[in-house]
Amino acid sequence: MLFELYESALKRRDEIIRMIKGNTDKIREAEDRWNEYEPKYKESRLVGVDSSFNYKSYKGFYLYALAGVAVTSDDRYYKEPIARLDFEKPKGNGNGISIRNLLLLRCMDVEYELIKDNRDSIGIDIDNILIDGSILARLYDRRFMRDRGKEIFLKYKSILRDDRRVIFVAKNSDSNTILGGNLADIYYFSRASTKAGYVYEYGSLDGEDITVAYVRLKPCTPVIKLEISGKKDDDEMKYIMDRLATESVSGYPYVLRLAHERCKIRDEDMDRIEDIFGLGIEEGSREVLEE
Amino acid sequence: MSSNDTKVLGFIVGESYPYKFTFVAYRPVSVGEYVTVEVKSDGKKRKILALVENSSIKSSILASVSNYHAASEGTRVAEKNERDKSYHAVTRVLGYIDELARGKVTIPSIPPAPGSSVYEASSDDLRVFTVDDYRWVRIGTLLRNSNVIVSVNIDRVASRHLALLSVTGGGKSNLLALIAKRVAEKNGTMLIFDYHGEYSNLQIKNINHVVARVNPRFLNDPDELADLLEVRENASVQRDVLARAFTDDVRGAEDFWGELRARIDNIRDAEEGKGSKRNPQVIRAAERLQSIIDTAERRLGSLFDTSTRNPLDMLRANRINVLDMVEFSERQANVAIAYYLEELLEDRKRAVRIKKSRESSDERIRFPTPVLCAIEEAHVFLPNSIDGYEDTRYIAGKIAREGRKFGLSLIIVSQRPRRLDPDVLSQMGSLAILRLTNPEDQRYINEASEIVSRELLEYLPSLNVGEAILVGQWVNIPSIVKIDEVKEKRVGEDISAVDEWDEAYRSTNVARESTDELIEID
Repeated sequence: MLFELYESALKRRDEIIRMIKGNTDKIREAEDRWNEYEPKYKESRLVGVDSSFNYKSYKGFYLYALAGVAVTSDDRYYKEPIARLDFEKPKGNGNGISIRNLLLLRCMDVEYELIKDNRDSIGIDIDNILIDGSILARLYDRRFMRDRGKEIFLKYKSILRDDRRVIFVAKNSDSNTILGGNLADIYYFSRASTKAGYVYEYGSLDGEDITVAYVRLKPCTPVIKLEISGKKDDDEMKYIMDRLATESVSGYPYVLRLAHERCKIRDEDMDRIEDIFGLGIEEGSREVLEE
Repeated sequence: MSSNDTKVLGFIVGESYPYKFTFVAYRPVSVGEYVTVEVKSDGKKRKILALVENSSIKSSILASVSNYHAASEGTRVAEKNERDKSYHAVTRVLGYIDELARGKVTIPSIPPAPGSSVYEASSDDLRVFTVDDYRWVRIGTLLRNSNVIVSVNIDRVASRHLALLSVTGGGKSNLLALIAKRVAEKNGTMLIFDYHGEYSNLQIKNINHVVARVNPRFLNDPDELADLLEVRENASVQRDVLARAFTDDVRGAEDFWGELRARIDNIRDAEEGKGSKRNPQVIRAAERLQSIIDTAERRLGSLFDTSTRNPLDMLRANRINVLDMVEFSERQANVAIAYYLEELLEDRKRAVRIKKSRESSDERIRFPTPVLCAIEEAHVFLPNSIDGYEDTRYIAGKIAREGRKFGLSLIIVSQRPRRLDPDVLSQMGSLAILRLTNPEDQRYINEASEIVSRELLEYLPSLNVGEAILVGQWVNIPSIVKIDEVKEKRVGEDISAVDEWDEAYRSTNVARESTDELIEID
């Protein structure tokens, strides 16, 4: 098998490289569109929101855990963290979607709980709430648009309408709506320049305006994608970049890094949870492969 | 943190064992700090004492940065986040405090539970370092708590040997002088083989400065005489001729050197008499030996004393005997140290035998009570290589193994532990390790001696001059100590060439000026 894979790689090498690297016109177009801007130091108070899930498969059921956190840059919880743990049947869960997508939906629900209102927050004024991941990518996935997915769609729509501080931050993107190239826009903007700057366009989520921007907060750092509620102009974009860059490390907001650290559920954690339930002796779904 | 738990330093995390645990603290913790934890033993709460052997600070954001810019940004954001840094400390459990106070080391059978509170050891807890017993003497203060006096058990040094290990200038000779001072306060007997003249100005109670002399009559092995005369090691024919000439008649002769020369001449003449069968190498060797003896008598006359009855006659019991060996070469010192040690061992064996028999004896005992022998530059005289000097190593090895039966113990002092004979080093029941920077030295000590942990050894390069880790039988508890300075010892400091040149130049000019004045007057 390995031999056939290598042979195929050698045969298709030139074609694939051409597809990835050959589109120099798009890179030039990205260069023309790129607005260089070196952010200025601007004190800001940010909150990072992230969630994660993990699960273990058994014969006939899953055991899952999910957690969501909202943290400030001094590593305090902006709201009480949310942790959920349950088991799920593989079929007949009512949504007809995979366990993975089901848990992604639930994570979005948890994140919504953390950002929906600030009455029970720690009572500090916040400039921006940063949420890990693209909202457009999540909500436009048709697999989510059934029953519960619609409910979440409406919840996030209300957030985008009511809270102008919310910014969705994605490390990567599949979207090519700005340049329309073979590859995603983020590929071309990443290669267009090494300088700090931004590009943006306006989009809409069921009638709610969104500004979709690709930004590099510091020179020579990765480009990230921002989705901001409302229509922002250049001055507002620069103002947002100032606030994010001041609180970032290697071009990525520190609060999101902290949130990721706080909420991640590792396989070792699942092993411990399994021990609590005494499920260690249950037959796993991949035991026939001795994995 | 509330006012009630201001002394809670941290909490035990991870796996804990009866002999060690790790804790996370609210502040950086120093290596050498002592902490306490409460554990349950037989239904009762008891405190255990532990020594911090390793300490680390980790910043979670700075752990993952890979360039200057990210580090700079990370530093700024980490300053705001008090949770970013975590302070970990690895400790060694020393035992229950109540038992340590009675000089007994008992390690708990059940480890302290993770989550247990860890406290800074109070002054009361640290009293275990100050043993109130006439066998114990003050050696210094705790490095991290100068109010706590640390004492060591001199009896254990006198029975189980001691090694003082440090780089040059780390404070070895001060520590040896301090031990000598404390032994003198107990009216004990000590012999320091002072190869570098480090202790020539030491002025303490009961001191006895002696210039080392060797009476060649008492040498057992002709090779020892050859070494003393500095006959080259590979000059086998010369050594063979000397061995043939060094007879009992020569040993007993009134004119030792005259008789030895005559014997060598006889060997030469006998060889000449063989005519064509003569061996010219023997003749040349005999002639060369005559010349060597002439030179030795002229140059090394002060080292030899053919009239001394026994080398031990110059040493005194219940005194600190400093044996000045400055004029000895390494090879000569090797023979001389072996010579003294052998005589001492025999003397102590006689003393113990007579004491045991409880009968009066005409045999002369020079040292009726235990003796401590300190060997400076021990890596030279007790080397780990078979190519090194053998005489001292052999007898010192014997004393290391059997000395305690006869009240004769060793204090070996070295700045290159990795070159020490591992058998001798492993017999050292106590260690004082001052600053040591070479990782090979640390590894070697770890392999040769089971009483020092790897974590403690890793700390050695961080020690400053006069700071030491004391482990083994002379202390109840491994201690990191600031050693007391011996004001009575001024040597050991490097000579200031600049000062001496300046002084000499000034005195020369003064002399010239005064001479010039005289000339003018004339």
